[in-house]
Amino acid sequence: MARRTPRHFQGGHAMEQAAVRLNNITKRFGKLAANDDVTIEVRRGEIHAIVGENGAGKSTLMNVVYGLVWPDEGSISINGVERSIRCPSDAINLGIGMVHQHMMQVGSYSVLENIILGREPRTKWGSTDRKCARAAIAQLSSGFGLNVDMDQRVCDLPVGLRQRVEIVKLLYRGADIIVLDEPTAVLSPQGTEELLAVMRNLRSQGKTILFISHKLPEVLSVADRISVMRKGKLVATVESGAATEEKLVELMIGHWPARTSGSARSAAGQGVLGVEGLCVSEPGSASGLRNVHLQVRAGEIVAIAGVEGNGQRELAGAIIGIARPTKGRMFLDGQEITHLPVRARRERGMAFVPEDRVDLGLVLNATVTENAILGPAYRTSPVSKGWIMNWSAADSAARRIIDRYRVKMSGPARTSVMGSLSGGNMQKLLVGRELAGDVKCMVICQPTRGLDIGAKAGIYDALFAMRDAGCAILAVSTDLDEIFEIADRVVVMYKGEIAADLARADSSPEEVGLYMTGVRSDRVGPGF
Amino acid sequence: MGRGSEAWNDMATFIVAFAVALLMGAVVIAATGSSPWDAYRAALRAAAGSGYRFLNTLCNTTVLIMTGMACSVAFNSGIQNIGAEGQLYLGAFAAAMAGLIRGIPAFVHVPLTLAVAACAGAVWALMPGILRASRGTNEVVVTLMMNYIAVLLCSYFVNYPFRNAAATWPETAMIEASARLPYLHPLSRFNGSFFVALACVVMIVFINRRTRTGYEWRMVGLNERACTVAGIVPGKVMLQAMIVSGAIAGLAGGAEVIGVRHRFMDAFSPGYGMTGVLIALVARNNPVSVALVAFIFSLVKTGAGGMELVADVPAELSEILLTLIVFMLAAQRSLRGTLRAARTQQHAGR
Amino acid sequence: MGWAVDVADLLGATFRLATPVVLAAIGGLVSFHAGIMNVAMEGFMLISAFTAVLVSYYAGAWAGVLVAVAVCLAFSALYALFVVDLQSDGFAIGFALNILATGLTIYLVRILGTDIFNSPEIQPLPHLGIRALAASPILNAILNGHSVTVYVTPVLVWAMSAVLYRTPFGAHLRAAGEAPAALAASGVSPRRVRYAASLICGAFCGMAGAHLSLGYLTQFIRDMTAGRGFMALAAILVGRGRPAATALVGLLFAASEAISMKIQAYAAPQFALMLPYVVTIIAVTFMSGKPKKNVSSAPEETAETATE
Repeated sequence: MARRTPRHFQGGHAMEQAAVRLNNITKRFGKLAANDDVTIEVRRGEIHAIVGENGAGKSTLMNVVYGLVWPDEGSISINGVERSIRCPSDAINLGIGMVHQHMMQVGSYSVLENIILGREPRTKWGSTDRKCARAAIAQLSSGFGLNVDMDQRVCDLPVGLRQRVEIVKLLYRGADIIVLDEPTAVLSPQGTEELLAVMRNLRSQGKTILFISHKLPEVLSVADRISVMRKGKLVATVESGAATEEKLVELMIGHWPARTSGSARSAAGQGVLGVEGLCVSEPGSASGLRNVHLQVRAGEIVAIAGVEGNGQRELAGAIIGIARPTKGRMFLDGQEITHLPVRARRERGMAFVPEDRVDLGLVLNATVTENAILGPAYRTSPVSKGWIMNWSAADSAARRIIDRYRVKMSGPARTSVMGSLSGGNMQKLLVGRELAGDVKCMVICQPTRGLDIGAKAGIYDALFAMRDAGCAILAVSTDLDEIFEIADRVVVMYKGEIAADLARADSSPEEVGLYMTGVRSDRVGPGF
Repeated sequence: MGRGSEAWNDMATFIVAFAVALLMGAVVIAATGSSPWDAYRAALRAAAGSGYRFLNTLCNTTVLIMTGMACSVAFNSGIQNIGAEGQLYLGAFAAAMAGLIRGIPAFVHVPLTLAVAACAGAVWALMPGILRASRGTNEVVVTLMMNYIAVLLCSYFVNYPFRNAAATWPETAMIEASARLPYLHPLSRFNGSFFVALACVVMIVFINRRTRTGYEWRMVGLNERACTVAGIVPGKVMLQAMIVSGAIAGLAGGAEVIGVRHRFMDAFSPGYGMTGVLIALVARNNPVSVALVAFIFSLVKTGAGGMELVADVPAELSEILLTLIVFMLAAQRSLRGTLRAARTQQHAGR
Repeated sequence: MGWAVDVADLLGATFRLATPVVLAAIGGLVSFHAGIMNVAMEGFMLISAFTAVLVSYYAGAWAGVLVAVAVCLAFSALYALFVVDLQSDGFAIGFALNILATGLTIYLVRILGTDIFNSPEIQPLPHLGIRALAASPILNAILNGHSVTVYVTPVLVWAMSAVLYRTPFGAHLRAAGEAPAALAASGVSPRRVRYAASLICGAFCGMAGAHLSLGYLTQFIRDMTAGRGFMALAAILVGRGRPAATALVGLLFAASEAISMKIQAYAAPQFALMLPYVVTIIAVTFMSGKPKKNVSSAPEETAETATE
């Protein structure tokens, strides 16, 4: 088990020491202050939530606690003693454990190997003592009610179980202070309930929990106290019993949120995108697609709901042409595109915003202009005539995107490196680029992940405008709130198959949640 | 790309690296018992001490510019072609063969020979390129192995079937006068192939800045996966770059044959292809930088030859100096880059 | 039974010739698993071969091996400094190191005098004679009389396999290549692991080079390594970094070298000499697996900064 530094109690005090006390933490990235003089106290044995919009500084603060980021000013006290946390090892030794939003696991290792990574028990020969580890983990799991199959490969596990493995991992290291970064972002409603139950259980066993979320209902349901952050500063810390969702929203953004302009309409128009009997299998991975049938009509937004890892990526990849289907056909505007290369599909009016914006969508070391024409644009007049490029036409194309979507940069498009833009602006440029041109069908994954509320509204408005102009839009999202805000139809994927195809107006997040977790299934098949 | 200030920055960085390397070289020379001052003075005189000596340096620059260009075109597209040496050999041999054809006027023979050389180099680069494009086979291993095979193959040709019996060293017969590029100065081997090299530079600059191909090469080199999603097929683009790269390396060999030696000689290359790789790495694949760096490298190499004759310091010091420059540059760039990357990464949200 | 003896001779030669490539490959695969594709093995082996001969001339074979390994460790520490800490392009640094090795060794040979490097006074590594094997002419040819390094190599292959898959260090190593962020979050520094990996690679390359120049022929000639460092790299790629498979591929390359030496008498020597290179290309083309996700010339930066 982990070494632990002794706790210091100031004798005789009735008031317990705070488990974690962040004093005047300031962290700047360039000119931007991600955390600005933040002071938060987390009491021992409580569940403390940190809420705020994207960009408020919550993740940065947690990374400071875990030693992944060093504050420019301020100090941290753990159990009443000021500590210097310079690396995750320091944090682990102080009894702090963290579950990251993008899970930090070694995919090809088993659950057991991931849990003991960095804290392996040794035999006297120096090799890893698996028997001892197994016994210790089994005891831990049953003690906290978190059962895991220790020999499964982590990459084969669904997201909910992967998270559970992370929690067991930090308990194995003797964590008393548990930090969770957006743990429910990727879970279904039912999965979220299970996680909240786990959190309550951990609290009852004396653990202190710090968690970040932007989903207020669950925060109000499980947290004892809630700290609200906005633009890097701590706005308030409230008792959860005394708070309401409206009050929290007001604290988070300072005013009432503007409603987005769209509302669902009944779908007009012909089918634009058709998918029949699509099967995709990825060797070495448990997920894939099995016999998927789907249709998206002109002027409608179809949202693909589902817990991450149920085949959404493969579906999007197959439609744009980067994943090869083993069976099935796909049609765009009546023409078969199953065997067409990516370029041909794009030239016929398909656009794609991938989930991995930075790896698959943008070239960070190229200029903004070069990124703005990456796609069918660079081969069409006026950007290029024949073999020769016309860079001023390319600049104009970039300018149009920048102006329309209000992309902020610190220099002209021709010379600014893409990587110098902030995350939100990069996304805006990417979406803007994909929406430019004559788009008949758009596949967009996680449309607003990581964006603040202003940028979110901008993207939704752009999508609604495209829809109203007759575009067929397929949006893949794990965020049910988002789906219920923009979709006309909701298609739920579970284990690579379509479990439901519902009109948004006739359904509810709870119902969709049931399909997402496989409790219910309509087995949507051919000829619907 | 902020060219103005960045170019000055790069030049300053290079000068510092060069100076430090010279210093370290001086330490090495002193440690082995010679006088660094004498050695460097001899080197400078050999490389640029008089008109014809300077022309010799330029003559040596020709091959290096072209092997450097060959490597930089490939590296720029993300394909690590270290086979320039082999492609050079085959180009040289093909040129030596084409140069033996009789009865063709010079204004046809010279371009023909160069074209044959370029084709030979391109063909040799084809297989590693196809393997990388279609199967993802590691091109570093394949091109390196093909270097050895190429040198051995040409050695076979020049020792057996095509050997010029009249010569003491294994070599082919002298090429026809119509295929030769004449020496432009009585005391030097400087010839018109230098301008062929410059033409190469101009051509690549044009392709990189003003054409679709140049854009595709650059984008694929920076992020293959994003290009796939955008509709570009990275394999095709890399193969294209590889073919052009091989052609330029072959051309380098051809230029050596028709301009300098007028025949193919066994083991004629003192590592031109490998030096080309270093040049491309130092110049960061920028064509104009390649030409400048090739010139500096040639100064060092030519100077080292003279240094060996006069000051008794082995010419291999030039290899040591040049690699020290690479290390110094890497250290400087990484220090600068860390500052820039830190700034960039912090803004780049994921 | 003449042909049986010939085959036995060939096998014996294979084991002998395989040792440098296999040793280098075993070291190289440690680096490979950690996420650093080391192209400088060629240069490391050359420097070590040079040092081993030089020191052995003055102080005997064991001193030669020790100093050779030490010098190789120094160079691999330099490599690690640039690639791991300064985050330079591993390909560029590795390549430059190879050229530095060539230039430096030739330079020093010429300064110190070629006689030293060809001298009969250079002590070779001791060879083992196993009396039990001497009885059978076939087994004798295959297994007897080899330099110690040949016998040590299979033991090291087995040991590496155990370390990689059964010890904590091995788990950290493979995690450093596959998911360095996960390793960092678990409290282990990927940087330290990569440094260790580079040094281990250097040590093995040191042994490989020492065997090359002291194992049988005791001399140092220019370009002695003749591409073996890259064959080791090829063996790693084809063997997908698994020690046993990698060693087998190394044996395959060595077999082609042994055959090439035999057939040199029958045709123009150049074609025979080509054989090992051709075999390497074929192996890499048809048998290598996809590279690990994070393996690139420059190791990935560990997650340092976060989004909001």
